[in-house]
Amino acid sequence: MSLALEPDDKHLLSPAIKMDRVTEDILAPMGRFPSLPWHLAFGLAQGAALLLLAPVAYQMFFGLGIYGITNPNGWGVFIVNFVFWIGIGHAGTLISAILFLFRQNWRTSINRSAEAMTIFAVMTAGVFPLVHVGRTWVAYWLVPYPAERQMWVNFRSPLLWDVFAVTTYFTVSLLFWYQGLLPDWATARDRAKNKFFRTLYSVLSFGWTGSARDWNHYERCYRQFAFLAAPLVLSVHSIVSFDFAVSLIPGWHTTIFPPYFVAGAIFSGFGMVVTLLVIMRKLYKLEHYITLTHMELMNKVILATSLIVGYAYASEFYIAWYSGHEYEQYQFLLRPFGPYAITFWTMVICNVVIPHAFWFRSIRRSIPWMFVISIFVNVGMWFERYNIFIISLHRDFLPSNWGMYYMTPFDYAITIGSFGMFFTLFLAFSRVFPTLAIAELKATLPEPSTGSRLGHDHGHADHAHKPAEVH
Amino acid sequence: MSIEPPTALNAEPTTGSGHPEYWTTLSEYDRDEEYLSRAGEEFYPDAKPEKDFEGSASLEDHLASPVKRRTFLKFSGFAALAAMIQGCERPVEQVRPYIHKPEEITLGKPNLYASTLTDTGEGYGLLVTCREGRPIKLEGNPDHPVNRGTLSARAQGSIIDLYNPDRIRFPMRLKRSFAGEMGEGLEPDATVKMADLDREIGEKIRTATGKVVLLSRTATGPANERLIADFLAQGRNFEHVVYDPMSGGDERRAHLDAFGEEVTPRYLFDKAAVVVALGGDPLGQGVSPVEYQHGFAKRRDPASAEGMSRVYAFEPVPSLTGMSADYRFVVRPEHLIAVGLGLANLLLFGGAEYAGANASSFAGNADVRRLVEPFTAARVAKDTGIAEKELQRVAASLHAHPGRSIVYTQGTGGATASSGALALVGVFLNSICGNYAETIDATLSPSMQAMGDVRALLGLVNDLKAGAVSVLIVNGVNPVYTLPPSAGFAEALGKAGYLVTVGRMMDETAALCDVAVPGVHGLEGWGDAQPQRGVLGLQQPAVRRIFGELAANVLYDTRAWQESLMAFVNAAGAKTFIRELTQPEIQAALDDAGTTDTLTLAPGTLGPQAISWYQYLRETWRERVFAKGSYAAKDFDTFWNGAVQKGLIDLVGEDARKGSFSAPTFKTAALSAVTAPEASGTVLVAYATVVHGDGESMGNPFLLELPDPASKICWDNYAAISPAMAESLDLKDGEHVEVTANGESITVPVFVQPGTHPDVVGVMLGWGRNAFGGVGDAIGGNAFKLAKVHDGRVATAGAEVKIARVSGKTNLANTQGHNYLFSNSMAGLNVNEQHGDAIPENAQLNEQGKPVYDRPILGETTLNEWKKNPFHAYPNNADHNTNPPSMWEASHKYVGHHWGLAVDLNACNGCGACMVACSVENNVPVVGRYEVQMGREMHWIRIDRYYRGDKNNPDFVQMPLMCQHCDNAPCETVCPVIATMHNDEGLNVMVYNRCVGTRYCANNCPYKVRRFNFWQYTDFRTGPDRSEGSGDKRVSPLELVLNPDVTTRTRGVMEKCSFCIQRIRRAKDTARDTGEPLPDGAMVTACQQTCPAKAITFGDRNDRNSAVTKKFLDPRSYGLLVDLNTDPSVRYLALVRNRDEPSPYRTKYQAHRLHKAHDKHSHDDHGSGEAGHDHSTDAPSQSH
Repeated sequence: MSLALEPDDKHLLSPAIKMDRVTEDILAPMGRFPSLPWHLAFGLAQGAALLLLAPVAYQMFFGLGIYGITNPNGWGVFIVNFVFWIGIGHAGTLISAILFLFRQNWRTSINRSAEAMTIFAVMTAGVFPLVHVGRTWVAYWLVPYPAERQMWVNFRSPLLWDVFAVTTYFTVSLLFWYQGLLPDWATARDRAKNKFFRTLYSVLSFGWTGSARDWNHYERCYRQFAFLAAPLVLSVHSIVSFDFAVSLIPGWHTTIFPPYFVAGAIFSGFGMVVTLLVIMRKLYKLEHYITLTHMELMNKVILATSLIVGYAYASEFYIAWYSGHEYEQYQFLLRPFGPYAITFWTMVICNVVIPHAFWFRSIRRSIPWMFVISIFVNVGMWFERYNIFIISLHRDFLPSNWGMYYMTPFDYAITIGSFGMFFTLFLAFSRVFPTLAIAELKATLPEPSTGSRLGHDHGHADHAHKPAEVH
Repeated sequence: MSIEPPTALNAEPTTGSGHPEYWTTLSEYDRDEEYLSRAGEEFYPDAKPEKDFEGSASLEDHLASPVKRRTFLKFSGFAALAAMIQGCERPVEQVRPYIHKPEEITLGKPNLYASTLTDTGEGYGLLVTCREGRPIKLEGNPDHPVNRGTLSARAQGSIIDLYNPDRIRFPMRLKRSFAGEMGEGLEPDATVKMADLDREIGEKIRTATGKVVLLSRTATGPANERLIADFLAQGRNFEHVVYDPMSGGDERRAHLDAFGEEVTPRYLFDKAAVVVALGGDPLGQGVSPVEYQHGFAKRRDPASAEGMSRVYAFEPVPSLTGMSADYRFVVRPEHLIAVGLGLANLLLFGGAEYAGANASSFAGNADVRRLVEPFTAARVAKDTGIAEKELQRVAASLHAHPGRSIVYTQGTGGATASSGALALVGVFLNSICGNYAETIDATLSPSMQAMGDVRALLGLVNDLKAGAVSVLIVNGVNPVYTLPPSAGFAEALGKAGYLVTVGRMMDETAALCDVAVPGVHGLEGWGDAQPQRGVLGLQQPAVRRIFGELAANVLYDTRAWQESLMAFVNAAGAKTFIRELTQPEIQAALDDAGTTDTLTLAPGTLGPQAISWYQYLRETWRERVFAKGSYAAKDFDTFWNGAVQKGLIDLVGEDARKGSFSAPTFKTAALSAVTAPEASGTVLVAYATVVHGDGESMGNPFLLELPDPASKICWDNYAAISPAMAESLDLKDGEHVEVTANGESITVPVFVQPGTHPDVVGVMLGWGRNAFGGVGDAIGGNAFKLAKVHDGRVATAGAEVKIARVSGKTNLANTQGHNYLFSNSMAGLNVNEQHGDAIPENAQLNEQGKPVYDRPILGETTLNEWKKNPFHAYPNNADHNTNPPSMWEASHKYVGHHWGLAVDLNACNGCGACMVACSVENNVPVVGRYEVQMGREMHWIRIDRYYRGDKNNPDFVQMPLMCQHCDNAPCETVCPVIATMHNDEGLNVMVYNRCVGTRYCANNCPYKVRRFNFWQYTDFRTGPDRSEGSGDKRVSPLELVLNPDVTTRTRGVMEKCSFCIQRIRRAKDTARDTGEPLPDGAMVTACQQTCPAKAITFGDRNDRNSAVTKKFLDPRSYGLLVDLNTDPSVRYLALVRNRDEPSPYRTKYQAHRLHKAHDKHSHDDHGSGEAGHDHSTDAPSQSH
């Protein structure tokens, strides 16, 4: 297959794609023995995941003292990683729910993997609040459950809101994602070569028949989920930001946090999607499906959210000056000029300066450029959390309290390990799940094809001819 | 087979219907044939039995051969074995309740025993808190005139010495070359019995050709003194050498020279309006620091009736006294004499405005003129760098308060080769000022603490070197460590005929002895003490010997040193401590044996008996105390019981103690020995601190983790250098330096200590123990090594010193990493190692003359400004004692109690006693050097030290900080599981069991007083470098010190100050039992209880008359960070410095307030009524 053909402005997908090839192309990795590059990547990811598991296991037996957390710095990289991964988890549902509601057809190529990324990022994120507590074995006490001792949770605590926000987000994202998978499981079932897979996929597809009735229910349900999930995209990171905004530590106690965090989350989420898709479209030869047009659109989102994030940074400084609050002022002098100045400037350069390259169309459409920039975005967003959480805590009100935070090898291990966990899951997903939404994708193709067994009498058909409206 | 069914049923008369009248089953009701036929059978034929063990199934088989006998035995054998295997793992431990409860012990209730602390030398009176028979906490005896119910950090910490696993537990033979680990020495040798050693020692004493010498610390008290006298009476070759490493020896000699009487006077700081510390440190290094802190703090209250005292300190390195001083001058140690003579010059020849009270009687004296006249203020100012007007100010203060001042010289700040001359100058100045009749008691009840003189020890060294000592008994002193090597003590020891160490701990001196006779802790034995003339303290055991013969290990054998001394004398064959049985005793022995024939008794039963130490003590008190005085008690038993119960006999009386004393006449001839030494180069000051003193208590984990009051460094000593020296030598905190003086050198990290003289290298004494074992071993460098013996004195200061960088860097375990408080300076932002310290920028008015905007944390003002406007010190932008406006209504109603605590920053000197008391009371774990380096110390109360102003000689502020128990607590709202919550008495309580360990509360606490258990700290026996979870486990019997009222916390939970909730509970229970309302002052927290300066007040804020309410209403009081609307239950009483100059420091709020006050003043024209806050007084013009 020639890869030279690129879609033009009118078409999202490459004209090279033919309806009859779609199912073939997308399901191919599921039936193939994994390639050597995949094995290498998977092995590396699993090795890295061990770096998360081993310290956590050690910590369970002996205590949290192995990490760099100290008296003023109570959270360390645990919460940096938590918020980082929760942020990563934002792009998927944004793409699948909000873009769906806005009828942005370009989402169809990327929504499946972006949603998977969300699920795995939230799972990775979820590890950290669980293991950062001193007694993980009683962490379930954060859940309000009826018990004979009548112990109850504190609904005033933002940590509890976190529990609800994250679990709700995870549940809804998972269900939403899985629902989109149903027709594709059925496709896989119909193509399965042996009884085992036929049975497996049959179960996974909940006995999907492809009837009009099925589609009718599916469409309605999908839309409802989208309505349900859309506000969650905004709420979950708003609530995560309450952990800080509701507290009184200078640098945390900031009302701008909810929108600032959401924008940052979308920013980092799209950054991660770009990073992953650049790799995935190459690895699975999906360039025709995930085209430069897709990538360019995502880069535009990155540019837009970068501007929001940059504005938020600036406004924090303004408010610190304007408030006349000496502790807050000190905190914001500390960030650019204090001991952690390097993390601040890393954040600014990565998040505010570098994304401006996306003003140029050639860079927006350049795979190497966007890959590098998206990694900068991810690095920058990790450091943004480091800035907010570590710098604010390490010097608060009373100078006698102050103390530096230094990461120990174990902190590095769990940070690297979280990437290992995420990539392990994602690589496994890319092998055993249909990585693109086949049914939806077909709907966006220029012409109906008789080659599909799934029919095209559903709602998207009308829009398939109007891809230009995304611009 | 079939048995006739029970007939009752069959015989039962039936109803007409043929059914039984009473029935139990339907079969019975229906009179079912089959049922009736089988009702009496044991087994139903078709009820299928379980297959039996042989596999037969039919009923017949079953009945014929149920379980075969052998099978049954097999299986029952298996079952028994299984049960036994279970039992093998855990032997049966039988727990028995107190069926015959000891009369005095009620489980759960503490018993208090009055005693005397003889282990640390000051002779403080104690109340020992015992729970279920074990001492868990020491408190001061409130009736004791020396310490008045309070204790020092060292005394508080000494409780854990009782349970120290490194104690010598059994008699040992040593090899004079013990250099290994303590653990080797701890191996018991079953062949060495105490009695064998006694016989051997007795033999050596009996056959001694040379001297028999007892070397000990000051041992006072009627029985101790008599015992030693009896010991010395054994022969003319018997000697007693008294040695106290940190003694008042110079002072005693100065008094001998000046007055003809060798005495350590008692200073009455509560009567002193002016205190001049000339290198002296009464608060930290006096012979009686707790007593002096108490009196000192009394006069630091600006509202005190006699007026607030003014304190001048001249010293080379910051001391506890210097940090509390109003004027602190950084002086070389050699210059102190010149400063003293300069003051004398002003007082004698400076004219009427400076004339001392007794100036006229000295001014004409030729000796005085010859010595003093050359030291004009101008010359002294030129030599020492202290401005002439400052000297004049000191002299004017002394002049203004005749007989109401104290010049204090005792301390390591001035312990140069000329320390004797300095002490004499001090005595002279006090005489000029007329203090001897007023504030200094050298006649009525002078101190008898630490009276040892190193001269006697140096004489012993000469005797040893000459081979004149046959037997040396070392009791609890450690000259091998505390004398400089050049004194040659260790080598001289080798020439002794026989060396016995009697003591509790293996130390450097004990390691060189022949035999070790284990001693006991002061809480385990009887004894007495006389810390001041006329104050007779009794020491009673509060616990059976921990390592006594009745302890688990039969080889354990420990004994009080007095008992050992008596045993040695007995074993030598002397009759001094032997007595014949009295007739009643003989009769009693016969009665016990049930016989009348003395011959049937075991041999020796009726022979001469060794007098026990207890009998000896009691008899001595009968003869020498009871018989000599007149007491209310008519018979001795009543008197004795009263004395033991109260812990002391006070022969002086409180009124006499406060009165005027006779003033001895100063012999001016003594001054001829005084010369002011030359000063040049860089000099050493090896200084002692209130925490570690001479290093005797090194190895006490509580004290090792107690940060130094000035540097806040624990677990190490260091070379303290000035910022200027650090700059010129390019040295940074933690870098290793070799400090060389007097030909010896030690390697220690360097620490830039603001307030150190630029030409001085300060090294803390007491560290670098090396034959010690346990946690205190091999930490830091031994600064005693750098000292030198001069003219019968150990000069720890003044020697020329070289400081050279060597490789290596230590991360100093500093509990407070950052010294600067001011946010306007960008320079402060960059200096930033975690525990390295930034040097504060000079934070006075800036170039534009505008006030510096700093953090409104510390309230500070001067006495004059306070007098004009008592609210002046208040640093916050909120009204005094009123909360800032809030969106919320007050949600907490405190119906019963509303607890509050007030800390007087003026009283606090930062000694750290509260921190140790808190740790002991609340089972706060010691975490070790590594964890402190990480920033994970667990102290529930800490003392923040802030510097202010000039980095070369800053002001110091000590601010104790514990949980503030906020009424709007930020920690409470964020805890997701309500593990920390508010109770209805205003306490912020912590439910450890519920805590999940999210640490959100700690993050959100603006005071950062919450402490997280990163490890299972309570399990550890903490050494300096225990770092990971695999550290040593807590060693028995250390767990005995734990307070059973306070749970120990597991890893993963948060903890913090609870306002001693267990004490609150006990006080309330007691009040309820008595039916009285809880009186104010009945509930004291552990920190408050022990504070020698009485800086902490606790009580009920709902009680309008309580002491704490009064403190809360004091205009000086302010809440820390109240702008955050945390509404803390802790209030600070702002610092007031007694200075002439107005404070150059203003928070912007203070400046604002002054401005407003000024406006009001100019507009109101003094007209308005003064209700509540009085702002209408004159505003100092400096605020503009």
